[in-house]
Amino acid sequence: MTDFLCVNNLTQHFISGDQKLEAYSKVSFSLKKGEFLSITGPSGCGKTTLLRTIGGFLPPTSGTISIAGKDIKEPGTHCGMVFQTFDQLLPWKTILGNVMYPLIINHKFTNRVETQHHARKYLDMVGLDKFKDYYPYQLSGGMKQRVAIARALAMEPSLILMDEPFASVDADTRVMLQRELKSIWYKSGITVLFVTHSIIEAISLSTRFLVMGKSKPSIRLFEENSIHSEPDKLITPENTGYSEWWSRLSHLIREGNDSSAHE
Amino acid sequence: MQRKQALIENEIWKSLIGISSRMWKKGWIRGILYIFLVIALWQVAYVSKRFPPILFPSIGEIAHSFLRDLLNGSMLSRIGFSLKLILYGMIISATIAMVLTLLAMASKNFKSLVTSMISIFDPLPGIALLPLAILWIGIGEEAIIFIMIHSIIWPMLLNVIGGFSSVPAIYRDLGYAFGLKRNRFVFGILIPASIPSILTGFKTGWSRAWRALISAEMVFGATGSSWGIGWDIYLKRSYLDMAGMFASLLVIMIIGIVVENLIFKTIERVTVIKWGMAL
Ligand SMILES: Nc1ncnc2c1ncn2[C@@H]1O[C@H](COP(=O)(O)OP(=O)(O)OP(=O)(O)O)[C@@H](O)[C@H]1O
Ligand SMILES: [Mg+2]
Repeated sequence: MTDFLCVNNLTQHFISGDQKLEAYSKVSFSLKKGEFLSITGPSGCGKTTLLRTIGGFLPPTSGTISIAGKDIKEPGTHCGMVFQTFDQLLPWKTILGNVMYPLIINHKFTNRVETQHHARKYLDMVGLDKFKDYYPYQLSGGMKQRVAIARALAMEPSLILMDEPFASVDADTRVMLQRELKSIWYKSGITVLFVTHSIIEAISLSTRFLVMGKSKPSIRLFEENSIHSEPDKLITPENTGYSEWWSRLSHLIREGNDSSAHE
Repeated sequence: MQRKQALIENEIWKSLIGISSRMWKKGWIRGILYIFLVIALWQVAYVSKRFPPILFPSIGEIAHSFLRDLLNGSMLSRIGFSLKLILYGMIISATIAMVLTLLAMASKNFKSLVTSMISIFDPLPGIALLPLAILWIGIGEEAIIFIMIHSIIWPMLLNVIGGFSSVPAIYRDLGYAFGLKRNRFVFGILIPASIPSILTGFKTGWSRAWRALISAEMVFGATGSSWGIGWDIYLKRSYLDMAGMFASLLVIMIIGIVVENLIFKTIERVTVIKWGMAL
């Protein structure tokens, strides 16, 4: 199988005034179709920026990205995106309207009834079908985030980029959403890039880890999750190898926070 | 027995006070009470004969003129004439504002040109352009519409360009992510996201145009067979029809209140307030 996502020597600088800020540098990795990659690292190491570049929202300072053999130069429907911010729903549309909008624009279905049916299926999956006629300002931050997830998944893209999507939901809902995501991922064969600050979340969901640090080059670790488990279920501390991964990842992240360590 | 009677009276008083304090809290009931108060004071001033009756008509005379104009259709024709001019002004201004805004979004140089023009022309009261309009365009509806457009376009441009420029980056990103391009991006993202500012632009434009219109009509007078509410007041002055004048002033006030409190408020209720986007 050839690689589905290829990130090649990617570097991102920001110029503000006469200052040059390196968000991340020399990032190269590739994924096969259907992998679940979690991206972790200390705050400010460039995770959001990397995701935005891969999504095509930000032209890289240098390097290339290709998805399914095609170079990515601009954003589009080649991948779904769940942003880090709460306010990523269009305030002038209802919850259902928000989920339906990209489906309508991209003519995913031939009629409105089918579109609505499909959108409601995904709203129901994140437990928010009851709120379909609400407007975004009437929902809590975590609920809005779930709608954004439903909207991205409803498009059934082959790649989805998620930036700390579960950061603002309570513990029970979080586990519910993790289970749901993992089962959707398993059923659909979608490729996922998942940024998270939670090591537990990274281990329980992903098939591969990417750890970034503050000093350059940015990648500290890019390895397959070696824990064996049922592929559609969350990995728990009962699975062998869990604690080894946990201590390895937390050590790397702590180390990555020290920006002088690698220079 | 007497004690019981006193208790009942007490309860009745309490309930009356309760009802009136609850009614007092409702804004519109208070508004109506104030209007009655003004009417009563007016009538007292009239009855006291402190002012010459020819300059100070009674409430009855004003009401009579109002009903007369309303029933013989002349009031509606005046209102129709004035509102038609302001509506033309609004539609033309909105179209120009939209085109200029899109050009301004496409080119930084054009945007700075438009913003400088706004800061130069916005402070200029529409009515000050009247002599110029007469010389350039002549006396007629076109000249009034010219003044209307001047009154509306600058505040509208200011708000629409401001709204478009400050659309949060996340909505733009969403538009791109959904694959929206060109006019679908404008109609799907930029315009709805700017509706709060667009509405503010319309409101400011309307209130300026309405004031300018009344003034301009008074200078121009009638054009052809019909005329507006401003010229109506002027005519009534020359006939010394004081009651009719006050009736027309009342009409101007009512239109202002209806447009600002009913029409714009309703538009806001079904848009920005419903969406939680009210500025
Ligand atoms: N548009 C921008 N202009 C300038 N600098 C930026 C911009 N966006 C991000 N940065 C800088 O790039 C670095 C990485 O930011 P980024 O948001 O990618 O971090 P992150 O890993 O997602 O952090 P967090 O875990 O807190 O979300 C930061 O130092 C930030 O200041
Ligand atoms: Mg981030």
